[in-house]
Amino acid sequence: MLDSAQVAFVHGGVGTGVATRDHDLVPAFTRAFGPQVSHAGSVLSLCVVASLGSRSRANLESNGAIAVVFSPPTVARGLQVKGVVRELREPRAADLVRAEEHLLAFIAECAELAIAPEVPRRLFARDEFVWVSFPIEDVFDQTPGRGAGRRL
Amino acid sequence: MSEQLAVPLESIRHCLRGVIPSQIATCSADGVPNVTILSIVHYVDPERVGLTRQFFNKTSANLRENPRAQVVVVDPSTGEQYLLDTEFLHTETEGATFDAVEANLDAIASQTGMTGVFRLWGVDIHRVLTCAPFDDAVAVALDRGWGRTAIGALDELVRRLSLCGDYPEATRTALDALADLFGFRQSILFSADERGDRLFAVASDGYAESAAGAEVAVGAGVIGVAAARRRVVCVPSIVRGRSMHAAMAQTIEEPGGEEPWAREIPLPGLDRAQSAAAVPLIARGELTGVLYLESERAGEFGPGDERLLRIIGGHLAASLALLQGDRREGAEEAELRQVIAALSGPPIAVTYYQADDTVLVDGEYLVKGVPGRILWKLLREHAATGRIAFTNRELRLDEQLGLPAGNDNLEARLLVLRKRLTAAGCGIQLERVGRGRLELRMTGPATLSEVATTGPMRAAHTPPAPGK
Repeated sequence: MLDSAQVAFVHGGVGTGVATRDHDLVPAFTRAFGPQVSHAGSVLSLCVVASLGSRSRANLESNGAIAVVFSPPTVARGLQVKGVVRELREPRAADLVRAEEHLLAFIAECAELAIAPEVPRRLFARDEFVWVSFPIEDVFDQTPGRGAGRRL
Repeated sequence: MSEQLAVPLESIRHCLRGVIPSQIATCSADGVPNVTILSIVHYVDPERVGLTRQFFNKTSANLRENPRAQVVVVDPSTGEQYLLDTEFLHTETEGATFDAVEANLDAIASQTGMTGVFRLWGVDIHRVLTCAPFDDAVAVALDRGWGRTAIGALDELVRRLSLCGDYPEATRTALDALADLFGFRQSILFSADERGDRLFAVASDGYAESAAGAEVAVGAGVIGVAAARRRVVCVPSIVRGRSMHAAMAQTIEEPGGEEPWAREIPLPGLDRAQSAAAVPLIARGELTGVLYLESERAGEFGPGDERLLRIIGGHLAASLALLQGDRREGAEEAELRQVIAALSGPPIAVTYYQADDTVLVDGEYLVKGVPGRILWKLLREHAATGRIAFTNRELRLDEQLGLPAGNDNLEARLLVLRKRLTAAGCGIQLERVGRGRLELRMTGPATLSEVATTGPMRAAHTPPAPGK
């Protein structure tokens, strides 16, 4: 479960990385946009870049094991959540709007590093999104330092 | 041997610079995936990369159980992504790869005030099994490194330096050429001091203010780490909030007390510096200085540039060492003029502090250390005899200046002194009037006052006892 500060962080202009794995435990990386934490802080939903036929899509559909890391481009702080996907479907209009809003916030963060808007836009593969939702089973601190990897 | 990669690693080295952080996905033996940020993806060879082992404890544990991983790297200029399927081979805690990665991490840590936090525990060597665009539609990026185009630029740099007749000309020519030929438009050239623990700026290009005389401690910041490790250090991305200027300002040691010279000569820097590189200058096996470059473009300098920068640094160091050691000034010594010039301007108040050879002119800090000692000698000589003409040779032979025999850095010190005098506009100038000859020019008479010290430097200012 995420507390209110963690929820605010996840809802900000953070970069979002996703790990899944296949039957042979081979991991796959992809990105996601529009993270939304439930009011109780216990369920995360987001649009994952995982087109039909991709490894990430196959993994999500077959076993659902997922890890999501949130970190601003400056990598000053990070948070990772883990769980197993319970719901997977095509994104709806509201999901895409949320993803777009997240992209704009991420672009603003990237601008702090003089990264042109085209670069984060390139990561935003709208046509490849699949919407997933899962109960948050574990939360880890990913902030650089001795506490990195600590379960929260 | 792995099969030939669909996208050769060499062709995407510019994506390994970490401007946009790379990430790594792993999986535990019980099937729980993990994803985290990577500081550096280091190119080892066409089949292997090195990943820094710092904080990602879970990643390390996963790799011990299950060596498979997937790493994403991003082209900072286009956002194109590449996925590397890898297999963990082993961890290196020493050796060339470890040293190279550690030098870069130490520099970044020092710049961002996180020394000790960014400790490198090891470099995990991974074999790259596949390397492919994240998006199949992406055309394979071409390496934006210098490649063969560098040869022509290097050839011209060597030609221009070979025409230089003296040290100041070589410093100016080198920095101009770096801008003209390589597009490195902001640069500072540092010389190592005799003790080997500090660097002082002798020339700069591309900044509003001159850097001449600014000092950096060896071991501190990008510049200091490059000097201490004698390695090219590239910082592809500098967080804006901790700008290079502010970070480097912290590395400059402030002299103590409330004295009027407590304001150091500021090191210039780009307000929006995003990328930097520091190149150690090594001649005859010794550190002679550092060439520092910075850019407002993220990713301007990265590991792929290290070879080019090493070649530039090597040739520059050799050229400057050659000219520094050129002492052909004796022939004209007999022609020294002893002129008492008519000084019509207002008096110039010069104060010299024995404690650290600081010189103030009309209450304003001018210079300290060896350049301060040299200026004080010239001014005293002028006050006593009216001389305005001096030679490098007599400075080298003056034991009170304490220049070390064989490696006195005199040319670099004089260059700093001349630039500081010019920048200060204090009515005192020191002009080169021929090879190894200097002329002191003043707009008014100088009133000299010397502040004695009772501290550790007192002995240096005490005349030797007779017979000793």
